[in-house]
Amino acid sequence: MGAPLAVAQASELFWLGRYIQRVMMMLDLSSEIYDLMLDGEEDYDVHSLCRRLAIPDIYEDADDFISEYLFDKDDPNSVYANLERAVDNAITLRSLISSEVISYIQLATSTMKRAAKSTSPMLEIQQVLDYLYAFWGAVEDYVPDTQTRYIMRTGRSVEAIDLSLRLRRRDEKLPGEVTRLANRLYRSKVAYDAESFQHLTECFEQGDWEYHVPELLTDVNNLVTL
Amino acid sequence: MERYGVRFGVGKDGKFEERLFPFDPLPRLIQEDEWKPLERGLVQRVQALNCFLFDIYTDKRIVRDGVIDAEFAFNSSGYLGPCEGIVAPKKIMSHISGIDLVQGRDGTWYALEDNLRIPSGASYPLIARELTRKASPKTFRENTMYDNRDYGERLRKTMDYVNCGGINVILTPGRYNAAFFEHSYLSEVSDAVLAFPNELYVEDEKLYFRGYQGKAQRVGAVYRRLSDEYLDPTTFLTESVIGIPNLMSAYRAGNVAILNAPGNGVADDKGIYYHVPKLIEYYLGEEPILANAPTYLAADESDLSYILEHLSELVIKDVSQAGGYGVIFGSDLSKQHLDDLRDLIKRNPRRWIAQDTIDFQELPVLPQDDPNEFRPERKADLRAFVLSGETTEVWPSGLTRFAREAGSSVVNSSQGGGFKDTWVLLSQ
Repeated sequence: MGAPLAVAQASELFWLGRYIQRVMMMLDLSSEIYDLMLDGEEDYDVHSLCRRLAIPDIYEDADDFISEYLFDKDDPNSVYANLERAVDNAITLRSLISSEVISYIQLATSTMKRAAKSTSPMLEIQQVLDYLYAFWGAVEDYVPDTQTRYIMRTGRSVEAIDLSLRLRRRDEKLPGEVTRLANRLYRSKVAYDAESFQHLTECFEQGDWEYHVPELLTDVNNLVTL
Repeated sequence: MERYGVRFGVGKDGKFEERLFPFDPLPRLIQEDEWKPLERGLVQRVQALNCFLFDIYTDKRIVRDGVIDAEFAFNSSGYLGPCEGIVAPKKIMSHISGIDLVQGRDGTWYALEDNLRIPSGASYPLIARELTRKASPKTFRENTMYDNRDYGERLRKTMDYVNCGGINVILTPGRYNAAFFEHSYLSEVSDAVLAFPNELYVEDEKLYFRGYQGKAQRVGAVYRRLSDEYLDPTTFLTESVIGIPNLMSAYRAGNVAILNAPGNGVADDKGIYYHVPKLIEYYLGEEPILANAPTYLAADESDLSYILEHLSELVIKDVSQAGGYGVIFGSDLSKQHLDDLRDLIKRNPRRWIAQDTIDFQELPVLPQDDPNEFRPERKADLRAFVLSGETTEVWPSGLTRFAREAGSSVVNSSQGGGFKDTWVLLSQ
């Protein structure tokens, strides 16, 4: 006899999707910053980046940002802390998503720890990203329940839209991500705020979304009501 | 192990932290011809304990017949008045029993403790077997042993047998419980829903799982992983915020099975342990197969004088403690501390038992903290898991726990011990 999804589980699935996506996108961005630093561009504007990410502007420079924002266990905004939150959520969902799926997040976490001590951390970071892509692949194979998969994917889309709007990276992918979110919302059967959803989709349909970024950020973060 | 997050939590300096459970890949080996009598002894022991538990909360024949003194039984801190008169589904009280054993140097197995409340640890050898099969396929190709990977299925059958209608759930106190890995892993392998206290509620003396968007499902069996006193604030600790109000009324009405039954602490009280051989004779009319460690009961006058006289040679145990706590080795105490302990025992003899120090076998381990340690060995015990459903069966494996320090007898994970898988080898 199947059991209904618990309220907390739905929320944890959604946030698991968000945390993993956040980690992936921030690692991707950090790799770019790190690469720029190799060419002597240490004055990358991390202060503006912090403002856009709505995190405390506590980093001295790009170097400091890379070491602290990526790896500081005690900084609740760090990538590592987000990965740990993903682990915390995932292990409460073990019976829904399986140990096999969770193992990829555990592997990513262990590799992040190694990266923090590495002289060439971007090699490990690439491995972390590989594990997280494998995580999404394993979800396909090991999570049989459609709703469970789509709640995670809804979280993934929400985070992707949120971060893309904040960072204004990959603008060209945003309309497609919004379309994908609509499909994921429908299949996840989660409750959502219809007004926010309508405004979000209309802005992208009309093509003037760039003029509404602050409102769209509110929309996307108010969208799913768990 | 790290990949699968095989951890346990410890509280330290007011903070919760999770550690990998130290694993030694060299298994404990038990030959089938040695296992069979052990298995029979374990089944016999758990059957008698189940009879005792059911009896003590209902007919009390054992007390009326004078086999166990009433005051002794009812003064146990594990005896719970609110469980009085409750007829557990299928009359089973201890569904998952963890019996701690040690093997003396002469090969004799001794039962050291009966854990009938919420014995933990089955998940560790279970996942270890899965991983070691991958790591060393040749070893498994060349040796034949009982496959222990059916524990989840055994657990599911045990729950199904007593299920009163509805789904099976494993009730965890929360993410920051020391054994949370085990709770989540067992829910995965047994197909039971992992439930947090706020997801369960009682209505019309029935237990329900609260689902997303208002969907609810009746619960027929709860494998609870929280202590009796926190289970139901309307019956036990009123300040418990992790309990399920009125759970006991649903249980009393026969609408839900609770595994293990509340109130089982009366039987895993170390004072009752002393009487287990008598319980076996009384309830089953059989000779005990499995030996108790030689035990002295401070509440018994003749034993008391022996204990006081030989305190420095004995292991003294506080009857209500578990997890390696409340265990005192007399040989470790100064004269002053021995005198203080004598006073404590005289003041409240019911609180104490004493046991002869068993020189139990050491098992080979891989070097622990010192990589140069030559062929190290460590003292180890075995927690055998006995599941009582339609039949009483011993899981052919178990959690072998070993002391991290050479010479130490403290094997508990909460105190730094590690674990091994336990292989029951098949006769060719």
